[in-house]
Amino acid sequence: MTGRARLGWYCVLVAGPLFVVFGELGFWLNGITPRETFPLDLGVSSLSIASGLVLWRLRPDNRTGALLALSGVLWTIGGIRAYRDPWAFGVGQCFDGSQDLVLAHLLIAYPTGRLGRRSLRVLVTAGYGLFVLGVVKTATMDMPRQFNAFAVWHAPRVHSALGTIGSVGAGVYATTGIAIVGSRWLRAGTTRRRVLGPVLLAALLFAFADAVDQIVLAITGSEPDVVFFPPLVARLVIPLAFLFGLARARLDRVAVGDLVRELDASGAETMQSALARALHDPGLRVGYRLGDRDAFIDSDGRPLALPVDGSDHAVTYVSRNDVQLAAIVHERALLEQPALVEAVSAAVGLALDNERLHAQLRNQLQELRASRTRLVRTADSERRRLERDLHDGAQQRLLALGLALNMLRARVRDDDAVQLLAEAQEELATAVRELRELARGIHPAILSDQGLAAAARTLATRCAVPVEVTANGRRFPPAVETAGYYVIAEALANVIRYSGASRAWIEIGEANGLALIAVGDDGVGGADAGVGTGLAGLADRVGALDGRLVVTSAPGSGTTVRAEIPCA
Amino acid sequence: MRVVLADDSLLVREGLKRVLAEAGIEVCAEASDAEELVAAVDRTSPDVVIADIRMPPTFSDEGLRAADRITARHPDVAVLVLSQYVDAGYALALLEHDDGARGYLLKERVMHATDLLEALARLERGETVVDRELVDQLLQRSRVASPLGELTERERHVLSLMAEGLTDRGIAARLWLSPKTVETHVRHVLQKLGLPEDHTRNRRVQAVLAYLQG
Repeated sequence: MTGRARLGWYCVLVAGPLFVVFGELGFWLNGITPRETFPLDLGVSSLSIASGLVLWRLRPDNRTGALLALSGVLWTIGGIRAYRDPWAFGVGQCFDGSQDLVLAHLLIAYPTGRLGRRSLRVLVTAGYGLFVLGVVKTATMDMPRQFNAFAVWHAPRVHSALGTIGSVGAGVYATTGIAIVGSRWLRAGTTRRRVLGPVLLAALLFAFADAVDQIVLAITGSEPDVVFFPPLVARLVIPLAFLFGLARARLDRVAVGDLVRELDASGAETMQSALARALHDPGLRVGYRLGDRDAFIDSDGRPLALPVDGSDHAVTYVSRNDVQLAAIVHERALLEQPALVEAVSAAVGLALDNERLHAQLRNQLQELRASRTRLVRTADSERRRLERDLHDGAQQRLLALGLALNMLRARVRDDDAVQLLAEAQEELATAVRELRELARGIHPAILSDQGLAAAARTLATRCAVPVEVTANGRRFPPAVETAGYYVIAEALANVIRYSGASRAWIEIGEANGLALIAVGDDGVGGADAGVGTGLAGLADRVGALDGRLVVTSAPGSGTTVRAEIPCA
Repeated sequence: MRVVLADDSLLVREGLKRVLAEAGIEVCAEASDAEELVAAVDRTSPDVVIADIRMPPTFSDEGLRAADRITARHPDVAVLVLSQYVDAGYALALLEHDDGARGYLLKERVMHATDLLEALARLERGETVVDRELVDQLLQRSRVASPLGELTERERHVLSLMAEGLTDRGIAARLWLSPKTVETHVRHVLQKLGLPEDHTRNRRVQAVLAYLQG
């Protein structure tokens, strides 16, 4: 704050109370304000001015503080009527009720202090027209010039007509203002409701108290001593409501300190929920920048869509060392508290950077896993296609050829030729058999047709070591069965090649949404799950399905290969 | 003998037709998928159906399923399934139904007319047929402390012929033994393996195959 501004503040601090006391005292001394309500009256103007000034200090960018202080000043100006001077009376009379016009303006412009829309500007301008009406009303008062310097036009009927128009107009104006804030509240999200709520409540309280006041007045004629209280008390609440509503954002900044502590204390708490709490926006989402790309991902690594212009959400970008780290998607209303969002962003910058790296890592992991799964699936379907082509193409042709040779042999009479044909048929039979085994190695048809248990039994019958199979016929998803089949085939191949086992066993089961496939033997053990055994490739295949492969092979106690693959 | 042929390969169908024609067997209808096959059987009431195990649309085990449909409608029609697979699982699935004569033969047998014709003849007599290569593979299977070890050479031979689907009389003819002797061997085999004795036709073959598969 500059020296000059500080001087201005001191002046306000000294002059303000003096002015208020001067104005209110006039009321009291001259009996316009009843003794009982004087403290309330004084309270209304001093609270309005004080709250207004505090708000002005806190939120210089927001006009609410200035307008609120003005309303307090206007409330007091009405009081100078009492100083038995025709000019003071005239001025006081003109400003009587003007504070309510400012309050209505405040309400309509709340919480930004700016009217924005053209229709609202027209409405508020029309509202201030009621002030002009008050001036004309003062000029047409039935009162001599020595009491009212403004009494220039003696017109009692015009005066009373203006009085009616003025009070009806003021009523409509105030109701409209409350309706506008009410509808704003209904449409608002959590953050904005926290700001709008107190003011809307105070305005409704005042409207209710005033309505009661008017009704009592209409019924009992005039009993100001009694009926003055409720509206005055309600008036006291209004400046406090504005102050509370807007200062809340400032109070929230205290929560930023808690936020930083929280993030330190619990690693499990996600940045997003901590921010959502600190900024009072449950729908808040945090997006992390993905490398150099112009895309954001959430903490699970999934893409995050940023709100479009004109939606009720907005984005605040968080940067660190000139590098854009993250985007916080929040309610648009939070933009009215730039200081708060800024404080939060600064406080969590480092933590955000960490989480961004994590999210990025998770994203890459996800992509990697997806591409691995795609690769395995592609390879599997290629194998299936190849097997089908061999069976339905080459094999069929060889069979047709065999049939032809068969008939040829029946027709040929030359012994040598018959001999040659027989040899050719033998060769052909061998070729067909080899082709059949080749196709089987590429993809066993029984796996697709009858499932893993049947395919495992066939593997067992072809194994050189006795193999016991324990399985029910339950079917698993094709990818799981294929992976399980290769696990069993590779494990049995290892049993023959390395284990020196005298027997082996296969177990296929299911537990907790996992397909459990195990192959064990009673061999020498000491198998290395790493390179060379083909087990590494199996681990990849099982991993591609989010499963895991465990090899237990202590020297001297056999080898067990166990695969667990999610199958739900 | 009247036969319906089902195979999606025209080449194979033509070749088979000629082989059968030379043996004096009439092919009364042809089909290239299971639907056509069932319709052709309804229409022509053949003695035997020869069907490829793989047919459109999925090229998996349509032949097996068509066999069940045919037996359900025409229990007297024998079905010979030609398969590319030396997998006991398929043969067991085919023999699940006790009604109707069923045969499971490797497709390459069609290149040897005698194998095919013998299978057809046995099916016509109401016997069950299982490809010997499949049986051999099951018998070669190594196992620990199996009752199979207690079988004599002759009994083993009898067992493999039982698995191929031969009746006692068929085994007797094949081994040049008297039916009475074969009956004794069969009873011994079943006792040693712990299999019930009252099995008939498909059921007996299926029980033996399942036992051999383990």
